[in-house]
Amino acid sequence: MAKIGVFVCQCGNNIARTVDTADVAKDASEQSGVVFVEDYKFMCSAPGQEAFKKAIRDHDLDGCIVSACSPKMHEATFRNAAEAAGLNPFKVEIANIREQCSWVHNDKEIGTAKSKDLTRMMIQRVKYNRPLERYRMTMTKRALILGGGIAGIQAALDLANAGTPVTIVEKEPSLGGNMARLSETFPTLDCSQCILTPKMVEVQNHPLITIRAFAELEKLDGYIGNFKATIRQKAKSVIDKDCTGCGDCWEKCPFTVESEFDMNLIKRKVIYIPFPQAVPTVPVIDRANCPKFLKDKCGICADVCGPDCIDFTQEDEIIEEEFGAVIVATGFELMPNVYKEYGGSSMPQHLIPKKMNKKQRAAQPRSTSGRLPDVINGLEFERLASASGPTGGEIRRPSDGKKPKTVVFIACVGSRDASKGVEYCSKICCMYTAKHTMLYNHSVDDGKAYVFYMDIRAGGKGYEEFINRAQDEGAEYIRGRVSALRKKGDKILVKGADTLQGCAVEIEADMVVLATAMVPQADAIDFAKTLGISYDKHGFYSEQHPKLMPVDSSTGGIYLAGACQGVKDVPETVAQASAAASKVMQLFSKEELMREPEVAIVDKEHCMNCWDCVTVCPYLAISPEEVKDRNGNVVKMVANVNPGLCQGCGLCNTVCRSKSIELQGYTDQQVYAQITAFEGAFV
Amino acid sequence: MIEQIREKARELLESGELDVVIGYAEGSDPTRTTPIFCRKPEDTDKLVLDGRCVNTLPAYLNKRHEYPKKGWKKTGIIGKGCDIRAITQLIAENQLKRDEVYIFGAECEGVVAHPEKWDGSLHEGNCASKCSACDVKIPLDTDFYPGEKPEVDRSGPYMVSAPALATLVKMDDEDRFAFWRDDFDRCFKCYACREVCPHCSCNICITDRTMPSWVDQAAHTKGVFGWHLTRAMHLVGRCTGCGECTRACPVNIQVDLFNQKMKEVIQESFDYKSGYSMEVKPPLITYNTDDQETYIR
Ligand SMILES: Cc1cc2nc3c(=O)[nH]c(=O)nc-3n(C[C@H](O)[C@H](O)[C@H](O)COP(=O)(O)OP(=O)(O)OC[C@H]3O[C@@H](n4cnc5c(N)ncnc54)[C@H](O)[C@@H]3O)c2cc1C
Ligand code: SF4
Ligand code: SF4
Ligand code: SF4
Repeated sequence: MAKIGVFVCQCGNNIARTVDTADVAKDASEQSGVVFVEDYKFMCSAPGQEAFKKAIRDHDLDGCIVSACSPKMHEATFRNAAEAAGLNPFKVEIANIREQCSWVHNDKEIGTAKSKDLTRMMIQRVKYNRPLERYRMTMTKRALILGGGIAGIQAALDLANAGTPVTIVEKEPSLGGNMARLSETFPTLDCSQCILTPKMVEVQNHPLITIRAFAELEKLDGYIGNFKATIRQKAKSVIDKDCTGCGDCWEKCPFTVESEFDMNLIKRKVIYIPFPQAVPTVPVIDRANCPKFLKDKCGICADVCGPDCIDFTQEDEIIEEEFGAVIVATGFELMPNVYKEYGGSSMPQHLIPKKMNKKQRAAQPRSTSGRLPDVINGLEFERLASASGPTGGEIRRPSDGKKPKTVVFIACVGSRDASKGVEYCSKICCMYTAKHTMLYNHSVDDGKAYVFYMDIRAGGKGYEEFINRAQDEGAEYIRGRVSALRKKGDKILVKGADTLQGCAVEIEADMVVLATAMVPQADAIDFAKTLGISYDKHGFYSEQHPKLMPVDSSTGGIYLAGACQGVKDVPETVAQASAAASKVMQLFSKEELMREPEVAIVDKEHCMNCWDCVTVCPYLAISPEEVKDRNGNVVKMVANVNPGLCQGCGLCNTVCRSKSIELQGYTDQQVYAQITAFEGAFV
Repeated sequence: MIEQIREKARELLESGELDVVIGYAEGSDPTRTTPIFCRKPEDTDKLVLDGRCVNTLPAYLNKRHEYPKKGWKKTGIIGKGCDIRAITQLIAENQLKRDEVYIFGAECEGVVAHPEKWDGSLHEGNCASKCSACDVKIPLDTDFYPGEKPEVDRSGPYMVSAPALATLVKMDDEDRFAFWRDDFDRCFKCYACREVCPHCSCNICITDRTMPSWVDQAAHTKGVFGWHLTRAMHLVGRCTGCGECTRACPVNIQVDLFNQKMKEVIQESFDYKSGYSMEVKPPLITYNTDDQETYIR
């Protein structure tokens, strides 16, 4: 006979207001197998937990129900308390009479009746709970960081400084990400590269950090503590270990193409490092544009290279490495200018065909921003304003190199516009636009900056002050939208509205800067699938809980940092990166990994190896296993679940027609007993 | 036609390439044939193939039965077009490997609806309804086919063949429920429909599970509905339409009406016809990360 204890919590008045807890306790006491009941003000309080433990010991309970708040809140509390009192923690169940009862019903009678039902259901269920043991697993205490922007750099340094070996995989030839492109940064206006590059150098010199630049993650197998990453090291055509970074090759290379780092504003060599302070300083050959690869001509770089490290025959290398945790820090990109009225291409950049006919090509924007050459985006402006940029920090417009006397900045291009862009606010544009006006005013003394804006959103430490400063320094803020940009001679006619004055405005500008929306990397969704993490409708990676678990992804052992999770500026990115690193440290601080036992197990006698479960498992946790007789002959094949990979989703349970696979802790018997205990059940 | 098959079967048994050939032989009375397992070459003389050969022999290939466990490495089987469809589905569902079977096929003229209706020949009055909408009279995948096998276009949709279905779908819910309640009243849960089915492959059927007992085992309204609806759902996207369940039922319940309806639904929703491909998985067991449904991502 079962010996079950039922503990009904009043939660102060939270539950007691709409549930007669004494009545619930009385009803429970009448159920068969229940030997102890308690109706208490705060079960989760220290005395409440003590009473719980004492009852387990005194009455030798073999099952407990706590009728209280959601199991998300205190299941762990009571399971731990039970364990301390000598009861297997998986013999404790929570009946949720708060979130599912008192908080959603006003009528006390109904609330009480439902609470009784929920409690009774759990009493029947717990009779079938088997004692379960947590799985212990070893782990590889090395971290993999995907993306080498400021987020990846910060997380790597934090981890490595705490003694954890780290590998950074960066798809570009250098670390740095978008922050390396910035000129000066709000809200302090310090030079971006001056604060970033020391960190890059620190990464380079850190004995515990391995940089895999110009590399991509192809596949991620395994589970928390035991991931196996397949990394493709793209062929640099340069032998890393011999290269001194002297630069002879890129100086002598006679061929140039547009520089992605400089937003296509100037050209770079075909053998190149993206920018002078690149880390690592090893150049790569852009094979798609190198005549050596296209028609076997040139090869000058190989001739001039002292240490002889140019290797035209180098192939991509596939590296398999094991890691215990992964931090995703793949960052963002700017939404392309898809607005015809702003001189953009009507087609999103990533949909534009790679091979174009002449007409298509002519219709393409010259820069990433649009067909009007002097309409540029924020990152292009950053390059123009940057001392290391194409103009050496003097702001000159792209078409003819003249200093623009009038510049119009347009905020919210694509943001906060669900119909033509993205619904969310890109958040940083107000700030960087203000910064841009200041940089412009510092560079062109007699220049005039206008800003068209919807609202100014400057909620951050020192942010509102920063906007005020921009206005004090001469930027004219016009509240309203711009309806069209027209070419007028060598100027751009900006037609807009001033909604505060209630009138139309026309400004003849020399240059227009669009603050286009911050969006996820074009391949973000595919990459999420490679990793097996969830993402929102835009492609930003989803955190486990928006408030309480902001850096955990939906998959155990994978953490998020930086703009890949949502729009962020540098301070927020760095904070999140450090948080993700601390999560990894927390994980690695234990000897072994404990996994909850609520995973699927197979009834190997009856499994008929249809592999339906194998096909359906989203975490690839199930694989065929051989069953052998005493002589080692394979007699049949059955499904086998890897408890490290199983996330307990239960999909396999639903497809198995013969009911040969079950979730421990959620067995058919438990669920069935629970349903049949419900008064209204059709059984 | 059957002579050529006999000859080939004898040859393969003699050479030891096949351990057994499953086919049909004359039955207990002239209206019937019976399944035969030819183990010796001379057994093949008994093979027959005509409109009386109703049984779906691939049911014997299902691992749930004892035959596949006899250690036979390669089994020969004589199949009508619809039987070969069942074999294809068994392979798609990982219940059989293609190289474990050798398929003898021949053009099929149709089979009788029930041996009781056999009057010496096959005609409109006694032919099984499944044969009227059949696109595999020339079978799909064979290892031996007497003569030249013509190409057939099978791209069309699955055709519902039971006339009763058309009437049934037109009824309102109450009448339809009454129809089934009356029919199911006769069901005494002999499970003949399950036993003849080539696709019921569970080692233990969910209705035989007792801890818990999801399907009520008694043969009352609830227990019978429970069984038939479960059976129908477990065959969604898998039933290959041999109609054996209906033929085997001793109390004449048209149980395959459910399966035919579900085939229509699967065809419409997923553009899938079971039994035509060894590679494509039935839609209800596929998992796709590109799924439009967001709850699963
Ligand atoms: C115009 C503009 C001005 C700004 N000005 C400021 C400012 O003044 N102050 C401020 O605080 N913030 C500013 N920001 C915001 C700042 O740029 C971001 O907050 C910061 O760069 C985010 O860093 P991150 O590391 O998350 O992403 P990123 O900088 O985007 O870095 C991501 C890195 O991951 C790499 N990567 C991507 N996909 C993969 C992959 N699949 N595999 C491997 N590697 C991959 C990328 O190549 C890149 O190196 C500005 C942004 C813009 C657009
Ligand atoms: S679905 Fe069930 S029967 Fe099929 S392989 Fe999985 S556990 Fe075995
Ligand atoms: S419960 Fe979900 S994750 Fe676990 S094995 Fe089954 S399908 Fe896979
Ligand atoms: S064969 Fe007929 S009587 Fe037997 S279980 Fe099936 S429907 Fe019922």
